[in-house]
Amino acid sequence: MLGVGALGVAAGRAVGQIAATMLVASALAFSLVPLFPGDPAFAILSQAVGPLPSAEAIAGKRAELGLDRPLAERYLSYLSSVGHGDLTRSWVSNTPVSELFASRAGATALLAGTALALALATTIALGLISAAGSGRWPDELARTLAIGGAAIPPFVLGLLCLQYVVIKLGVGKVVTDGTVHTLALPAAVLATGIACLWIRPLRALLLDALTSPAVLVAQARGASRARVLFVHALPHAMVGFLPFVALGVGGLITGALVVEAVFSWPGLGLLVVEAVRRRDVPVIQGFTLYATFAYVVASKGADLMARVLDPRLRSAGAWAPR
Amino acid sequence: MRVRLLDRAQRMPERGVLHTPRGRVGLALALLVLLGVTAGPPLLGTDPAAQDLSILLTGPSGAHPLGTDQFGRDVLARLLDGGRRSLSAALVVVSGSLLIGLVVGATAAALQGAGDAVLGRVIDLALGIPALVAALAIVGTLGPGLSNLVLGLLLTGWAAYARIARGLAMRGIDRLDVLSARLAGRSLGRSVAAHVIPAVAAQLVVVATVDLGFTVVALASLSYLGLGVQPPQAEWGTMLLESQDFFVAAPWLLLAPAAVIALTVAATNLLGEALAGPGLAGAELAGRETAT
Amino acid sequence: MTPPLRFAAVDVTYSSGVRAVRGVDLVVEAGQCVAVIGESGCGKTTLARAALGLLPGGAAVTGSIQVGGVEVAGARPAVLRRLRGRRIGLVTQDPFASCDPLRTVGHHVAEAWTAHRMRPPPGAVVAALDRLGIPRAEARSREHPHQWSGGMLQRATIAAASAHEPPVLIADEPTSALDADRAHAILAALRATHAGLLLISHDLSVVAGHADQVAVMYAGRIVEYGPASRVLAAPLHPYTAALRAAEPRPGHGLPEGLAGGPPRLDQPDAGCAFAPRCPLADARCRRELPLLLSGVACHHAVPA
Repeated sequence: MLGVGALGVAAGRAVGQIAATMLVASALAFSLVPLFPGDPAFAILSQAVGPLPSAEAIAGKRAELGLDRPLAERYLSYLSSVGHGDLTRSWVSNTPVSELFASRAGATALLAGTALALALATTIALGLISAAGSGRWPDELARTLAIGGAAIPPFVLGLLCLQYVVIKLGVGKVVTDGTVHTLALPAAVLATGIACLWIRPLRALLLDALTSPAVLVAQARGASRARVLFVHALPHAMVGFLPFVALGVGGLITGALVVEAVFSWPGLGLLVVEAVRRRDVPVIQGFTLYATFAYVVASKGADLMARVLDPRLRSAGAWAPR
Repeated sequence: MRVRLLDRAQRMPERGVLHTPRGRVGLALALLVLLGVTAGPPLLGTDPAAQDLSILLTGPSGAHPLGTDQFGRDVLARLLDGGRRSLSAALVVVSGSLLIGLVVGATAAALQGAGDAVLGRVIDLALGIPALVAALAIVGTLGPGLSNLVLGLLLTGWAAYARIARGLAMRGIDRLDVLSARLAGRSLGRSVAAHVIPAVAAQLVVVATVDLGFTVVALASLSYLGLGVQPPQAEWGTMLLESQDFFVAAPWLLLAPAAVIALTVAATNLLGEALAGPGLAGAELAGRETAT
Repeated sequence: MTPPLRFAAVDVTYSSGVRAVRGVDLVVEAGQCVAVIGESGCGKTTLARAALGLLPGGAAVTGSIQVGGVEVAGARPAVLRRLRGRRIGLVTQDPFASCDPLRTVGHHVAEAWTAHRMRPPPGAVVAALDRLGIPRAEARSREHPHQWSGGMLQRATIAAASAHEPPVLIADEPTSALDADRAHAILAALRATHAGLLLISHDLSVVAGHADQVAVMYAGRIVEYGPASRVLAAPLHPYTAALRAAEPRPGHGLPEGLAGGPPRLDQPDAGCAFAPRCPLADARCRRELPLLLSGVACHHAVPA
């Protein structure tokens, strides 16, 4: 069918763009080592061996890391290692970065996934309430909550929750353990940050859909308000909402960093924060790559999903300009 | 009949800020914060760094309206001093992003054809990298500190403005006014400069208003993580960090900076919403990383 | 016999204060086509929406609107929903805007049943499309709206609107978004349903060709009413004459536009609303509102 062909082309383009973005990200990641205001060999050795490594040890380490080779050569070799899944080794613990990531990824996935689901559910529920009762008190309440929630940054909210809910009221644990048992509060805090940013766009999209001619016609056929909302308005709004979902994923990545720090959630975010504090560049490099990858895949994924869902876009030849 | 350059929804916003109650509240809050931060310290006269070990962790009182912290420093003075730091840094980030974004975006639109394709691709690529990730990368490599933080945020922050500017500029260039100026002999570049850029800049300022709040939060969160301003310098994020150990004894140490951050974000959101007018104002922020 | 649609002394005021419809009396008899013409903003669409009970929230309706004898003005939502689609149908201007682009055309037609939480009887959708002259209806009903042409999609909309054979259909500018040659075919399709038809249009040739009665609206009031042949050929009201003159006709040179601007609808009546733009206006016109007598509301009812 013609539609599938065009979709395939679009998917191919998306892959190309992801590759291009990853290339730029890899350049940024790579450049961190040359940018490092010091000698990486010195940094590694003083961590591992002691405060004053010998000149021979430093020279040996430099050779091992290939630090004196030309930049272009180093970049290419970096690219090829990354392509093979080798993200070099941590300067602090000497463990392969990929191993470090693997051990922590699960906890972050759990946190982020739960937060995403929570945020979506809350946003859709509040958005529907808002749009269905537009202008009346549920709408005003939802909008005020959205602004209020957006005004309190997740990390501040997290801190407040930590202090008031956990410490004062004794609910939950101060130090979370990365499993479902202590998931509720961190996930809720992370979800709130995203949901507050989502509610108003979804509400606007729903209201847009509710005033469209298609909805008028559906009502003229005898459809009830509820049917119009769920069968006509919501699907339309969701298609237009996809770009915001992609942004939300981006927000999750960075939000997780801070929420994990506040709650000491043993995930990738905490790992990276510690790495930044200790100037463990390879971990930071790995994080740059992973975070960019997750974000750009979410973005392009959302674009493609919009194409899949909206039949009009499937046959369109040219890539819709952003 | 003169044709309007940008359609009604895109023109320079009339002083709509004062028309809605929300806008008025936002403006009032923003002025409050601004005044507090600029005029406050001299009015107050207290040295934010002055330690007085005899009055550790005292509550709000006449001499110290927001109490003192674990080193006997006046909380209010630190709040205002830190605020100045946060706000000026955020201002640098936002205005820098706006300017770079405006130039890149308008140039892309003016170049059209191949030049636009290349610049457009650059913008897309920069947008692909989350802002906080780039900031972390820079800070993690070059070391903590406010200036490195600002640099890191600028690295990708301009891209969102560039995208908006490019879109608006392309629409502006299509309009009759500019085409007729070209027909009259002026080069495209001058037409763009004279007609399109002011209107686009006005729109970007609206986006920048809300962005300011988010940037303050980004700076505070990174400082909270120990990556920005370093103690003993005051900043809202570091104050939050330091407050954690003393929460039970002195809750105001946490609440004061938390409240001010919330106030600032609320102010910029309300102001931005009022300036933007009805419609998907949030959509204009698409691309700018939702900061924590 | 109860007329399928009747407006009696209907006034519609929006929450913004705009009085879009003022004292309208209008009847659509069974099988009759009543056209409502007038420039944008004259209240035609408001009338249509009011008949369906689909005015925006906050709009106040006084007077009586009866669909098959059932009062619509101020009726409960449940009553309105029972009427819509079954006793009164709607065809709107742009078929691409009124069809859900994410779903198939078949779904759009099936909406006539699914809106009422019924399943369409097997084959009913295809039969409906067939009746309106859609070739290969079965296969085409699985396509999406953007794959159909405007004319065909409008037929599908008519199929959906007339699926339950409602005694009256409202067609709000059904041909404006289509090519001129399709217009007459669409009207023929509408009339072939044998329903009473409230036709809102600004296309005078379509109206002349298919309407039985014509009502001319200006600033929310009916200023002229009568058989289509008479009103369009020999208008009595200066506004109708002006409308006719503004229509492009081959061999008559460029049409003359109407001078002046559209009337303000948020103010109470002060004489004839058309007076500021009327070549025949005098002091009486500006002071006294002309009533609709013998099919025309003008102090100077003169043939054009």
